[in-house]
Amino acid sequence: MRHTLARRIALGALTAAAATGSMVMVPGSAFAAAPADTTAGTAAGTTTTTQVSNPFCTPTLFSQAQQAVEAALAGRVTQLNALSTAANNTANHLTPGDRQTLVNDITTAELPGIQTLQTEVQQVATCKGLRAVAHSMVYDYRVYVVMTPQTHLTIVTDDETYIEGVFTNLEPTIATAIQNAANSGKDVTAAQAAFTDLKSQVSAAQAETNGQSAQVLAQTPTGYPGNWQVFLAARTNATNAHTDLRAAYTDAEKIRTDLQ
Amino acid sequence: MTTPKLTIATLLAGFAVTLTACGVGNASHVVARLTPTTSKTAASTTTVPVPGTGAGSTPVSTPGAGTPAPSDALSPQTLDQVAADLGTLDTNLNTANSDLNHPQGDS
Repeated sequence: MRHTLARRIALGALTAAAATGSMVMVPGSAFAAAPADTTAGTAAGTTTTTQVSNPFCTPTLFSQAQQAVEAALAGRVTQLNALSTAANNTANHLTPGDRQTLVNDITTAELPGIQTLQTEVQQVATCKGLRAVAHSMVYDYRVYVVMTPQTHLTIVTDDETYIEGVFTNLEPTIATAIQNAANSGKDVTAAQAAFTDLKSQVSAAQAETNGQSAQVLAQTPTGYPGNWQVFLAARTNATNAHTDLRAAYTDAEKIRTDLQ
Repeated sequence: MTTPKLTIATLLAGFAVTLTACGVGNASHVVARLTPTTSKTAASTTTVPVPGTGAGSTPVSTPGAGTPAPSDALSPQTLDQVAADLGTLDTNLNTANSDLNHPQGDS
């Protein structure tokens, strides 16, 4: 497993301790009316995150703030259950290894961690304690901005890889069919052109998806916001591969029509 | 009488040897039945590893020993399955786009 629960809890303890050093520093949107992180690029290509203070937990508003964190945690449980369902859905073409990685991360690290926080949030009685729970919820688990795109992009990329494999396996048979049609006197010019394009499109798709799932799966919650660019690049590659595979399918349809 | 009996016995023994050599009466001797062959062999479904799928495998239609016709190469069923997979891909890609275009919250 890439990131163990123990590692996350340890990390959460550290970040929570850091957060409690400043009573005005509030993590994440659970305590903020507006997004709490602002991201700026640097010359070195990395990103830095600055937190915007916008607290609303005061002794008089504690109950309200507690309910806000509870709702935020419940929303994350719902989202993680949805991600688990998607990762376990055998209708998609996740490789066994990728499926296992995603399911493990979601069900043995993320979900238990958030559920532990659901228990903790019931027990805290101060804004400081509530702030620590909210901080861990956001920074240690990154359900929406890491786990969610990671799961869906991996499914997409593995789906594409599967379809590439189907086309690749069909190629020798198509070549033989075209040759046989030519031998029987049929004009196969258009079919041959479509076949050439099909192979080119499949090769392009393979180049777009090669290694993408592994790269996406390597991202962790602590890598945010720097890994957001990884997800955007993976999305671009997946979109391009999708276009290529659609074109390959059109080619296949044309070949079939021409050879009939 | 001895000579004719001996002759008959010899003939019967020889006939029995001949039948044995031909396999008559031996149930285990199966003669392959010749059946008309065609130039086209139906495509067989086998399990073929697909690149990038790790330890998994994918059932795909592979050509048999005969000459594939166009309908074997790109049968409606084959293309329909690819179309279905592409449809699923469309949905999943839209979901991934939604994640990145409109993330739920900032965390």
